[in-house]
Amino acid sequence: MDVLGNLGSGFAIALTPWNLLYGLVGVILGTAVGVLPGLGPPATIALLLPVTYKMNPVSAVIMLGGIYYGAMFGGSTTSILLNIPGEPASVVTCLDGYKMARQGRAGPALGASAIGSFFGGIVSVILLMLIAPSLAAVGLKFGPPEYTSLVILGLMMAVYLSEGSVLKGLIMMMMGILLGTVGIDPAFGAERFTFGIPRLTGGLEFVVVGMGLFGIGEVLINLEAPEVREIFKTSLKGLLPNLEDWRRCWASMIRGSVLGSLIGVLPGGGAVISSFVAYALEKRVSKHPERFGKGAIEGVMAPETANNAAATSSFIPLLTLGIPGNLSIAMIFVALMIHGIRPGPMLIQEHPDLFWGVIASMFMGNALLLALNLPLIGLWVKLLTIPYRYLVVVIIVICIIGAYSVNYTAFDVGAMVIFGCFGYLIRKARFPAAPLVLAMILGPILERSMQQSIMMSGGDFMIFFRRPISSVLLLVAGFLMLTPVARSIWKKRRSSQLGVTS
Amino acid sequence: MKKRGDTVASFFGIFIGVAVMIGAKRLHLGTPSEPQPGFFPFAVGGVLIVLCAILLLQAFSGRGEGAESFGELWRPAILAIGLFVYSVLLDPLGYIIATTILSVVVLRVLDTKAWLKLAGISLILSIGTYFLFDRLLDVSLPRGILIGLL
Repeated sequence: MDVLGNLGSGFAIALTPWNLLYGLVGVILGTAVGVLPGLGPPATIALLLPVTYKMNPVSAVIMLGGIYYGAMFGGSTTSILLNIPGEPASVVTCLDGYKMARQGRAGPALGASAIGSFFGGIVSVILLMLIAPSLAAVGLKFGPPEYTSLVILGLMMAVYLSEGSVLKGLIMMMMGILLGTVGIDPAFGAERFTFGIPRLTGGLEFVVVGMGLFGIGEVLINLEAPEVREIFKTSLKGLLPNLEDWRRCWASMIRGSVLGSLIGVLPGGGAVISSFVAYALEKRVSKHPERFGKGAIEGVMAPETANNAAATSSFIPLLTLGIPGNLSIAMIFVALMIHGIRPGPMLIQEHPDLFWGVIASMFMGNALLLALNLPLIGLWVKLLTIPYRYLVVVIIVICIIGAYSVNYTAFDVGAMVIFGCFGYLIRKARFPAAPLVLAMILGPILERSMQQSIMMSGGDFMIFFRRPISSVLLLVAGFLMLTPVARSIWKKRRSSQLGVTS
Repeated sequence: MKKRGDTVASFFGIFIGVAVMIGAKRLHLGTPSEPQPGFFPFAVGGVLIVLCAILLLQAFSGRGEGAESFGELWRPAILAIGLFVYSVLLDPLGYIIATTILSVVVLRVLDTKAWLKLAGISLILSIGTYFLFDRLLDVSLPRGILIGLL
């Protein structure tokens, strides 16, 4: 009953006119950036960070969160109608969604993804509501050694789950940790790697690095070959899937929401990975896997349900342990810090209004999004008729304002450009960028908790293995790192036994 | 030479690692049980060097994935240079003028032929975003030489 009472007070907060307005603005903006390819949720959240400085923290998180899960609703539209993912979590939706559109079934595809997103979102909010307080209670028992191990596990997960080779991911992670050390050292107050530049004493701005790598870097890649795109012209009649569709995909919806919710909780997990895993799972359990890639509605339903579920549940590690699991959540982490709120196990107790207000806003946000995306889908499709070159200019301007307004200095714009070029090069060399950005934010937490642990134990490094929770977390992290190695050794041995050269 | 990307990347990583270790040494390392400011970056730099060395070995032994080939480089190059110049000129020229120029350059690079259309869109974009952010949302942007006017 406690939950219901808290939820009631949460709704009382979320239903105040201003919070309703901010929530609405968030989900509308989110849908828009989801629909428009090239501008992801992290860059949009970063852009709106300075706008939230003067809001109260609850409103800020309501709006920024709305952008993140709103984008999950919008992303499918572009994938289905254009065969271009509107944002990274809708990449797999292209496979079957676009095929459905070509078969004249764009309507049911769009309908299935909107309904699925809604269902996944609601399941995930309920999970967030029920699990977060008890997880925070566990988190309260964590001391510095547990935090050290948890951060290490989170980083390893981010590396493991990012695309490309684990080795390259680890290299990016180390780079990120090093970038995180720039500035005043937390324990001794010494200046590290500032090269005498006064602007760097406060550290490199996470927002600036993220926008450079993901915003500007992406634009640079896209400029190599300006693409010609064409909207698939189709009538959008009959948005609701028919009975036959439902018979096929109701189970996918449930599987997608469970899977998405679980993957979102993992450190390093999030919407993007969940959509891939959900698609793979559907293909595996299907009795007719050959239908996938040819317009199977399950192939739209599952990833779209999962990505929204994961977007919502990735708030769990942020609000209970203070560990952001992906880039969008990391941006919200920054927003909380700016408002003087340290995300961590104490957050739900110290700021119940924030926690329950945001939960209530998610219920409403998902309902709003369903309304925005089903009857109003035609409006969003109109957005897609904007030629890409105009979009590029808008993306660049948004990144510039976002970077400038962090500290109101042109220095940050220059830094963003440098990281944009770096992002372009590492993408060309097939290095994943996500581990770098996460490591940059988790690096200082890692260093501090490591130092505290060592002080606690009087210089004994075995403290990380002597405490049960900590040693389990480290074991999982070690296991994750060893699996790719083991797999490649096993593969090599088997291929040499069979006398096959790869 | 498909693995050149990995080779270059690992040399770059090793260079960074060595630089960090030298820099960290100057900050005093302390001992593992009583670390000083330089200790943590020193250790991370060391791990970075080891990882890059493994990548280098893989590249030489012909494994690894290599890099993607570059497409037409001139467009990204112009944008990157344009943005650098922008970051230098932003304060002296002010947001509106600098953004208009940048937008004209980008649109031109992306094949917008009509100059009038180009200038019009760029002006609307820069002035529109200026008023949206500076006036409505209280995110103040540099005024530069237009300071008397705005």
